[in-house]
Amino acid sequence: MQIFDTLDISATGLSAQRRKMTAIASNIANVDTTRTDEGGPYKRRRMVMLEAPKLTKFSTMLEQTRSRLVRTNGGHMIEGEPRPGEIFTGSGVMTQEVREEPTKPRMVLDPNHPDAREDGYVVYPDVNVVTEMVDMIASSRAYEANATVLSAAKDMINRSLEI
Amino acid sequence: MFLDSVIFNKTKIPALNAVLDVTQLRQRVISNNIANVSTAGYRKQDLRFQEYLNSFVNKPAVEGTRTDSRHIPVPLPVRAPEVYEPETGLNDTGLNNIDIDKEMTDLAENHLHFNVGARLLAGGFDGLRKAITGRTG
Repeated sequence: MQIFDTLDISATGLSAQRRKMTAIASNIANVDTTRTDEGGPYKRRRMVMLEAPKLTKFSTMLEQTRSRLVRTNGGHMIEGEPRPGEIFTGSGVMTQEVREEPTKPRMVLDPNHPDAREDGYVVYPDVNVVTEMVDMIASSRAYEANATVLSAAKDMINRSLEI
Repeated sequence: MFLDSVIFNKTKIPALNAVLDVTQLRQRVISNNIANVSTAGYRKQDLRFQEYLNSFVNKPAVEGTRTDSRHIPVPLPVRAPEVYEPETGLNDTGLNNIDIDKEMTDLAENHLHFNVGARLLAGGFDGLRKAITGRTG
């Protein structure tokens, strides 16, 4: 059903922003983590947003194949124009997680720290709390925008039931 | 269909049907833009539909009958609604060219457009029903 595709698209936006929020929460929680399973200080998690691949629906493909088979001569009329709903195939957004290699780790001189290097410095993760906060606000606003779209779509569906 | 040409095509129902189709499709285009608000390199899309909707309102003065497939149709067939990528510069974030305020405004406008179409369509069906049954309610 075409009208429910809007809900799916907004849902991908909501879940992408939620995953981004999880990454931000993890970054802030681990701002002082110096020891991890893979060794070394915590590496910043970053959610990269990608445009989701275009959807080609079975019905659209069938329709295209069918009209190709029907027309055997240039003079033949084109049978069945595509319905307006079938010309747009966007399907929202998806995310990919990247662990950033630290470029400028925070170095703190603390020779008594159990994870201190031989020169007495402790390597803290390359996480900037201010950057994370800004990302968090942006992500939260984007989430709200998607939620607004979702409620508009719901209202449209309800309204079309009243016809 | 016979019934279509006798009953429905004489009312505003086909035009309102097109309004609902187009606004519903535009809703999907806008929600795709908003879902991709933080996607780097994403290009905003929009729907070109005005010409298509106008064709329902402005009936052509002359209509040619085609008796041969090589005849040029009069009037020329209307362009179906199409998705295009508007040429706008990058926004302030530098990630893509989505202006979130514009998208939300378009969304609200499109939403109202749909509601108007749905309300009028319901009215159109109501009128038909009254005409058929001959009584109200």
